[in-house]
Amino acid sequence: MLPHIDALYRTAYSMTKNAGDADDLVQDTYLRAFQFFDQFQGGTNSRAWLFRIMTNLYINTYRKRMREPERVSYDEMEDFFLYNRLVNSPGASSANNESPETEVVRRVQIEAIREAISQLPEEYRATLVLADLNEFSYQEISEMLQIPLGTVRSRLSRGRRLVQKALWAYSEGNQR
Amino acid sequence: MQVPEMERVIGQDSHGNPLGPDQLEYNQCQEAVKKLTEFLSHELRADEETEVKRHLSQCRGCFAKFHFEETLLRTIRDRAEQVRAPGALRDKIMTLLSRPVDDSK
Repeated sequence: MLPHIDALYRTAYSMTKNAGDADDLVQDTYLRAFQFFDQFQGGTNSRAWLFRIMTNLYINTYRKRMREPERVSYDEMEDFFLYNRLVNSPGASSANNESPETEVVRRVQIEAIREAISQLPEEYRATLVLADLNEFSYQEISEMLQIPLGTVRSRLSRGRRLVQKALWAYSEGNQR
Repeated sequence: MQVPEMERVIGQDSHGNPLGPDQLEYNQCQEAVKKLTEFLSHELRADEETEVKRHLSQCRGCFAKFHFEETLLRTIRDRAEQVRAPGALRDKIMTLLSRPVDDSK
């Protein structure tokens, strides 16, 4: 009945970082979609339409409430952070004859992913969740978040690096 | 325009491996890595994507790293999909939607 509710909920949860706000955001999205259903062009992408409604609500209400200061250091962030750690660290994949792929699949569980995404600064989080969890195009994300295409690209690039660092920190913390 | 011989660094690629006959341009790996973000999102133009894939077929170092990045992204996406909307939320929304619209608010 409620199309795309799981994807909307996952995204709302990642963006707001708590279940109560995620519930409210998803609920408001469906209510608004229902209210403005006459504006929906039949035959167009209902998933993108629902996500656009949700990101609009998020930008206009939830995001204002939780303005966070810029917390990212603009130091150069290493490419292939996680790969380099898994290949080079003692006790990591190379020592067990395990490929870095096998090891990363073992280490990256849902708790680690949730933690890594929730640690991202807000502007990186929304972009990364729309691109990497929901596979929207840069153009769609640029329209949803009202940011230029180049900003989508740079936020995603940085966001992915920050996620890798956080995944590494989480999984190392749990190995001890 | 012809690249002047002086600007070519012959010897090692960016992984420190000796250059093979296919890798006369020192910056092939760097050029591929610059396109990593868009490559993983399938956002490159067709000709750029072909160029990156051609490099990956020739460079084991980059192939291993790009393959790893793809695996990581897919793992994150697949695992994140385990999260489902709570049943209580579905029920609540269905109840709200089945109510007559209240215009007085």
